[in-house]
Amino acid sequence: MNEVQLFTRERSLPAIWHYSMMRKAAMAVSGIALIVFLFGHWNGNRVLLEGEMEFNAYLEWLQAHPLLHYGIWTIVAAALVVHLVVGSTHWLHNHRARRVPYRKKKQQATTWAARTMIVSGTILLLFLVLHIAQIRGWLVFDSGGVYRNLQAGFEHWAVVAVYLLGQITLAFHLYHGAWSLFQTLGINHPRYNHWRRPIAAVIGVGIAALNIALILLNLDLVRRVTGGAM
Amino acid sequence: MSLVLHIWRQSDSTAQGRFERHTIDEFTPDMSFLEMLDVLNEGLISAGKEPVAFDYDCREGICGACSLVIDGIPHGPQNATTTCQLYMREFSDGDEIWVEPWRVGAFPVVRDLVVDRSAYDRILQAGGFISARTGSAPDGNTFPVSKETADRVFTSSTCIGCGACAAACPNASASLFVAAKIAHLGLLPQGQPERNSRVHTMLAQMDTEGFGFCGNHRECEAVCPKEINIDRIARMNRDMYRSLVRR
Amino acid sequence: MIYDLHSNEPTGPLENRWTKHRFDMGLVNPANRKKYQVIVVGTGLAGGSTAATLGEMGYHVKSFCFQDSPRRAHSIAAQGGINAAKNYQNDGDSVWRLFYDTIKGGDFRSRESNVYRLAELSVNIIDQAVAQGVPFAREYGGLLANRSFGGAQVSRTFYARGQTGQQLLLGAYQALNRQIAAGMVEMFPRTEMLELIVIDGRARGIVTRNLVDGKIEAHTADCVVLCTGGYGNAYYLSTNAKGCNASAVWRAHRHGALFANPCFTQIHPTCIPQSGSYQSKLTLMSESLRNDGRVWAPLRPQDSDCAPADLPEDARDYFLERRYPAFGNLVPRDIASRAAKEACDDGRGVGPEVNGRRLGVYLDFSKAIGQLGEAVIGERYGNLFEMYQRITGEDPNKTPMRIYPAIHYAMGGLWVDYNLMTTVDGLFAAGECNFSDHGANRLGASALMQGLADGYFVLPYSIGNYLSQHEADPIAPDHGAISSAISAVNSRIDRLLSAPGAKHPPEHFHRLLGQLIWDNCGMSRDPAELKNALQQLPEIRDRFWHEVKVTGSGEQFNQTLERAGRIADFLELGELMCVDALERNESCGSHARSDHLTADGEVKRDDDNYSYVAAWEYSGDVSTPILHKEQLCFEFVHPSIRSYK
Repeated sequence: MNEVQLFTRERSLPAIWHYSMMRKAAMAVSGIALIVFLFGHWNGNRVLLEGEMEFNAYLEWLQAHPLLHYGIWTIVAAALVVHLVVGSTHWLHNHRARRVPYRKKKQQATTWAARTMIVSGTILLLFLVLHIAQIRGWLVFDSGGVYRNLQAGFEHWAVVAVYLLGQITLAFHLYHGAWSLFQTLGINHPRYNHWRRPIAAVIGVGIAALNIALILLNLDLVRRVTGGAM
Repeated sequence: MSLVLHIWRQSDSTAQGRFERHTIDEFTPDMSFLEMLDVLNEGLISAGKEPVAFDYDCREGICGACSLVIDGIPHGPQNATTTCQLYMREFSDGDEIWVEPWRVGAFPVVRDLVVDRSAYDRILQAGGFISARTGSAPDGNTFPVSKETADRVFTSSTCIGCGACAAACPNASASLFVAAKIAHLGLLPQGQPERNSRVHTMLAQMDTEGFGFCGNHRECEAVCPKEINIDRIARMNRDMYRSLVRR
Repeated sequence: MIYDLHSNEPTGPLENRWTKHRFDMGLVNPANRKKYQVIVVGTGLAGGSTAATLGEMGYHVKSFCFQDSPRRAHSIAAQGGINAAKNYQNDGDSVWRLFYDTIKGGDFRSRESNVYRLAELSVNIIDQAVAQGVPFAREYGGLLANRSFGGAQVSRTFYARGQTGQQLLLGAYQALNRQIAAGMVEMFPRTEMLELIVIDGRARGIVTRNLVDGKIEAHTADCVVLCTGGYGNAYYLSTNAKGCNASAVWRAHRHGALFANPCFTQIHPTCIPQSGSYQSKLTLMSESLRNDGRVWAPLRPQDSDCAPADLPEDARDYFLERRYPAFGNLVPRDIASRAAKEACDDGRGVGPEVNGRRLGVYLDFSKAIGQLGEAVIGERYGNLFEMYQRITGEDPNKTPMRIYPAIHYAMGGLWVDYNLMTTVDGLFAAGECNFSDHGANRLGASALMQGLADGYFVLPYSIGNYLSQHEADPIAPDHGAISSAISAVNSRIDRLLSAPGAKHPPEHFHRLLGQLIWDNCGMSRDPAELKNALQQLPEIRDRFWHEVKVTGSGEQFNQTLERAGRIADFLELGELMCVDALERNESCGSHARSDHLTADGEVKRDDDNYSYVAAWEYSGDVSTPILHKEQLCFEFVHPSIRSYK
């Protein structure tokens, strides 16, 4: 094999997957995809506040555009799979890379968010399972469609608590994740580096805050709607 | 002044280790941490016991031989300082200190506090050099290097290969070490011809050695005795992407 | 044995000698090189560059170091810089001037041909290092920067901040790594040479101990190269790394390699003084500090425990400025060192009392800070001040630094000819462990130059020349010389492990030796004191072998055993140093004899009787070595007298 061939082979997808660093890159890129999705998703959540008819119209609109709908789902699902596979396999590997743990270890720079990525990731995954189950109708609070099942769920304090916990966890996950992806993707410049942490914080806290605001507003709405009906 | 030391003892790489408690009754603030261990060891030898093994050589902070995680921090509590340059005035009377070896799977314990860091050598053997055959070099001034670049190169090339970065990393990753060398060579005009292949071969070797993967915890730069910045890691990653699109 | 000390230097015009010699030397066909094995011991600048270059040429190289990685060799700690006659500054430098300065700096006790070759090769070293990626300091235009160093009148020193040795060593280490990866060099870290194997008068291998598991092994080759550094640690406290040792050269010496000028050891004036009896080493502070710092000691001994701030100007003695008005605080290393010692010997030393003595003088920046401001001084010496504060806990901006001289470099070493071959056929020595280029005193920024010149540009030729005269013939592993060398090593280890009256750790004896030769064979040497030391040394050695206590076994990682073996050799070498110092009835360079001083206390050289290299042969008894002389002839320069008044 000559050098050019060797280099072409080295740059093939299976070959670059062998580099831990490239898997990290895949993790960062999938993270970006998920962050972008979350902003779009919030926009959908917003319709929830407008009422059942509007929400159902939104769902119909989505179904009328299968290319967009399934396109997004394919990307998100793929991003999730990549994120999960790399996240969990790397965690396992990193866990073993130390072999013998320290009896005493003082952390100097790392954050609580960074050290608990596997925990926050697992919580988010569990939350996602619940959320999807609710939307797909596997978990039934009200069998009258997606909107009613969601709203009926919010009548249980435990479900509200899980949603709130999910959002707070998301904030922590992104606080490290969104900062980390700058490093992993090599986005750094001495002049702008000090902005990376605030940007990550804004992304993390921002998405979570927007979603929490919706949940709280929605709770209000639910109470008003049910109060009016009774 | 006196203090209590809990020192990791392990007779060889396969043996089970344990902590051994020692009370140091006399130390002075002007003693270095290693000199304090010297005094302990001379006492142990005189008593017919085996002294604590630890790596050291230059004792002036440049050879990179000394290691030790002192009370939870590689190279101890003082910033930008190797263990050999750490003085007892950083500690107070009655302190209880845990002394452990670098705990990195890729650095197996040789004995007590001594670890085998040959993994770092092998990573550099995989591409951490510029192929310049002796005698074939052009005049030193052939390629100008701006002062700014030379200074930046120096802040990477100052790495002493001590291994504190991997020891501190929650994931036991060697990224800062590897990135420092890639930045050192890749910033120089002389390092360009092998720039693309270097990042590949070195990163592949880093993975082969069984180090953990960078989690951007920034612990490495916090303990680096030469204060090498994690910007080098971002730069290494960029070099990797660059190598995928260019030849 | 009668040694005919032929330097084998070429003749003719000085500037043509190396070129002529290169042409006269035999060559090994590239296809045949892989048949030859070469052992290189040590991986500092000399060893690393030798192994890398020989590997590159196609020889099969085995490289050994006692450290855990070749990158840790003590060349790494050199701070100042490396000289080269590039004349990039257009300030009148030339190969001739560097040659002359080196010969003169060495007080006319080195060989002209060798020193000229060194100056000639200096320019290639810079090119080579730059090509390897050594980040030398640059000017704003991108070209290489230089500074004047050690009082030189031209700016010929290349540097990389205060870590030039580190950067150059990493260059050599990387070149070595490249050959290791290519399979041309087999690397043996944590492996210490304990014996030389000589077969039919030729050096054919070494016996090593694997420091991890204690395994004793023999390695054979077609020739052996020692690049094992200097023996400054004989003094116990020195600026050398703790592991630096003379065991490899001492083993070679006992096998017939003559030891040249052992008393020539360089003392560096600006080191941080000892703070207690537990002290394990001394730390060097760059000489550049003397550019702005004023050296003084209290005028009266009774003031030596006063705080410096409490001493008014008229109670201070700025002794360098007083004694050497022309050069003041910038007098050469040996002169500054001796003056500090004399002040302390008068009872005027400052700092903590260690073993009843105060060993330190002040280096005071208050005047410079007053004139230029703390900011300017901080910019010049900030990192040195920080280092000083880290070690002593004192801020040099507020209170004067304390300094004291310390052993720094060994000019003496194995005698080698122009080809860097010792008196044992096939045994080469390069770098600090040979005696060749620095005479009685080394110039600042010349050690790095010599190590790399030897390794990159001299040995690759002279080893080729040597091998071209010998068929590659591997030694059978069961050869009698191998087994006897191994058993010699084993029995020595057994002896160290089983001293009959074991009671002291090895360091105890090392400190005794160090104190004795520091006091008697240090900055100034007195015949009566030397004789006294020579009487005590065999006693200490006897006590060592009776009382040394080494715990653990030989079949394990055992640092006490390693040190004990090295100290045993230092105890013998220390005696040879004193013998040589006593024999050399003159003062020259680093060697100041109290009975050979001028009326005003300056050193007095005796060119008529001592213009020679003293090369000592091991006679079978350490105390009665045999002297061989290599007369030095100066065809091109005329020995002159240094004056710094």
